[in-house]
Amino acid sequence: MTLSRPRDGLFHLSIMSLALAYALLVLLLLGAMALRTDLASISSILSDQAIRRATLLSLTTSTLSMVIALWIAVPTAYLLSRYEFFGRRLVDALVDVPIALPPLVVGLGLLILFRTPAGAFFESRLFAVSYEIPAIVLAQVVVATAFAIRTMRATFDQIDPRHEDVARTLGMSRGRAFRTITLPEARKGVVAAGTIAWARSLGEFGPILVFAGATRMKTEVLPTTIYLELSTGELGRAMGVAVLMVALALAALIVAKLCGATGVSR
Amino acid sequence: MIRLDSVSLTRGSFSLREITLTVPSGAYGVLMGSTASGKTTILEAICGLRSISSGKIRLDGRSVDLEDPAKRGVGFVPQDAAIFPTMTVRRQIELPMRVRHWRRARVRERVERLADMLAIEHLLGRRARGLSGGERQRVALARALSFGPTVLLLDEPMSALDDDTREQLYGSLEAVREETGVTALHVTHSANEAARLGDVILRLEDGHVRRVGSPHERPLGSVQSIARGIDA
Amino acid sequence: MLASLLIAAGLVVALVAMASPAKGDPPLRLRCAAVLRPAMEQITRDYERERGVQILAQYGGSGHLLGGLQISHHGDLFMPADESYLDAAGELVVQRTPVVMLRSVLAVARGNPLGVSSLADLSRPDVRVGLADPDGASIGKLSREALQDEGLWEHTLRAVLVFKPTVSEIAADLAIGAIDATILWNQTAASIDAIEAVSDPALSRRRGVVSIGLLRASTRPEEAKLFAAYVAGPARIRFEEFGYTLGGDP
Repeated sequence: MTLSRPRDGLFHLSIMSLALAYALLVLLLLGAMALRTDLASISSILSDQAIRRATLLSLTTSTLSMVIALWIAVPTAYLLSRYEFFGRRLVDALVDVPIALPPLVVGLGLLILFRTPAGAFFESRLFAVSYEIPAIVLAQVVVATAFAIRTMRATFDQIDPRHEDVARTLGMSRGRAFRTITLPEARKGVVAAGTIAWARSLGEFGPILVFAGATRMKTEVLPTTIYLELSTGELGRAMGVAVLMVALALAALIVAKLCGATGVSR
Repeated sequence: MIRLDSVSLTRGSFSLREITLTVPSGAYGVLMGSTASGKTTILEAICGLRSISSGKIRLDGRSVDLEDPAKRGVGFVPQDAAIFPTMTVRRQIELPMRVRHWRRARVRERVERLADMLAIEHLLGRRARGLSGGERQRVALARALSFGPTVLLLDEPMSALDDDTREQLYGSLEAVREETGVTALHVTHSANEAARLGDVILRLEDGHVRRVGSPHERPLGSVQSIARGIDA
Repeated sequence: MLASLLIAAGLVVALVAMASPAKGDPPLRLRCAAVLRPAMEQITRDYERERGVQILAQYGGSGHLLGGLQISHHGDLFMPADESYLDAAGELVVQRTPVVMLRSVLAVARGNPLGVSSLADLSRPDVRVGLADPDGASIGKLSREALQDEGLWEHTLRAVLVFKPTVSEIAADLAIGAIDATILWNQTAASIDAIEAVSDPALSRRRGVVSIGLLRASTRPEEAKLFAAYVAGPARIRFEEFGYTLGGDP
């Protein structure tokens, strides 16, 4: 569609100005951050061992959390989109809860969960979670999965179930029809859900602070670093880490766009 | 043979009661009825996509009520053709044969024969996007026939086509009837289609199926003798 | 789908490698107020080098750290910005050692453009004032007490633009220029270039005592006691270097 018809001028003007206004707001926000950053702090954070480890830990945990979130979200969203079963509405509402909860509450809930007899049993028999790296991943997965489910749910709702029906008459089981027909059709949605899960995990702070702590060289991820630097008045370094995070997020979003673009559009 | 005995089913507020119909082996059955009379639902019940509350469905004498759609061996061409958007035309015609672990050479030969019969050779490398309505129907037809089903179900295949394309599809369907000997049930609201294609014409009215007649009175025996030409 | 499982497996291996503890004894776990971080980071490094004992420190707001402690009963040592948090921890803390004093100051932008000179100026209409949370942060509690003593609390409360949960957050607001004046720990004010400290006698009289507490939950209490003694003894020189006031000073 081109933006040429004069009769539609007012409409086009209004949608364009709203879009531009928002894009400009994001740009100004980034610009304001850049103003507070100087090259000295950027180079000092890049050579800081603790920050390098936090970066590595952030990237590793967010990517792992994204994979786990997708493995949970894709089947869950498919189930909610295609099947009627007792308690469906309840499950549907429950998987949205982490989106609505304040981040601190998510962390607090997880911390308390692992103090219950069941949680303590898990930690004593298998591996420690609270204040350790698994806590970071778990805190990220809880929130990221909820967002991934929302995205996948919208995707599956838009895919015609007739295709799966036909695949079944052609000799495929439900599982095989899902893998060969529906999942490839949902590719763009999977990429979008993965992107949002990854970005949420990378930026997650509140639950991680409470559940995994802010221990240097141990459970310190990039948002924790910003918090720690800010808490000791190192505004310049905090902004430097923030700029680093913006760069990582932009890189990831570009990769995701490229992945989505190679997919088949319907 | 397609045979329904007193089949009833309910779907929300809509229900079909005590449907009984027969299409003899190798015959081309046409089921007529007004819009929303439940014709599509009957097809879905036959291929197993919708469960029935009572009655019996037999295909070639075999009771299939409890069988999964994958096991019924019914070729189904839905109204919108439901071409899979993520794969090429060749790939989706091959799919039912791959699922059944056919040998590669046999798959290739089968695809060539179907493509030739339905005049879709030039489409094999294309994807769903950009196929015309008639092309989609013929691809869906090739896909439904690829694994050599004995029963073929078609849901208003002509409804969205212009006159020229419709003429082409008539040709394709006649070729299918002559060459495969499949037992077909074709759903439509058009009396023309029924008159041109039907060996057996049925009408669904007020939840009952009534046999209208067979304009051709084509001897069934001769149809069956032509059959198996392309049968796997 | 298989690829995603392989990626996940690789990431788990990487995380296990990152989490694997250093050889030797497990580290001591310290929960420490964020305001003490500059000195404590140096001190834990010194201690590790001198005694070969690793200290894993978690920095945060005192109240926040206390909350986590009360839920998890986990860790060896607790070092909040103010003794009241050790009191609040009750029987979770079995022994405490005083380390350093924190003084409070009026804090303004460098150059003091609005000429703020006393607590009374905090209720001036042209001064945008923010304070640390009086119920959650020790500096906030101290600010309230000082203002109440001067009979200024009610007045100031009406003028306060914002409360922030910790001293660090309100300091950051001042550094950015979102507020004009606040009350900070002297140490916090001194560590930020953009901030200037103004002393007011009413504030100078008030101090926070930082003590390091040994936790009942400690799995290695003897090791933990040794570290506490080190922090309160040989390490005090580090606190002086970073501009903290030692316990004996006026």
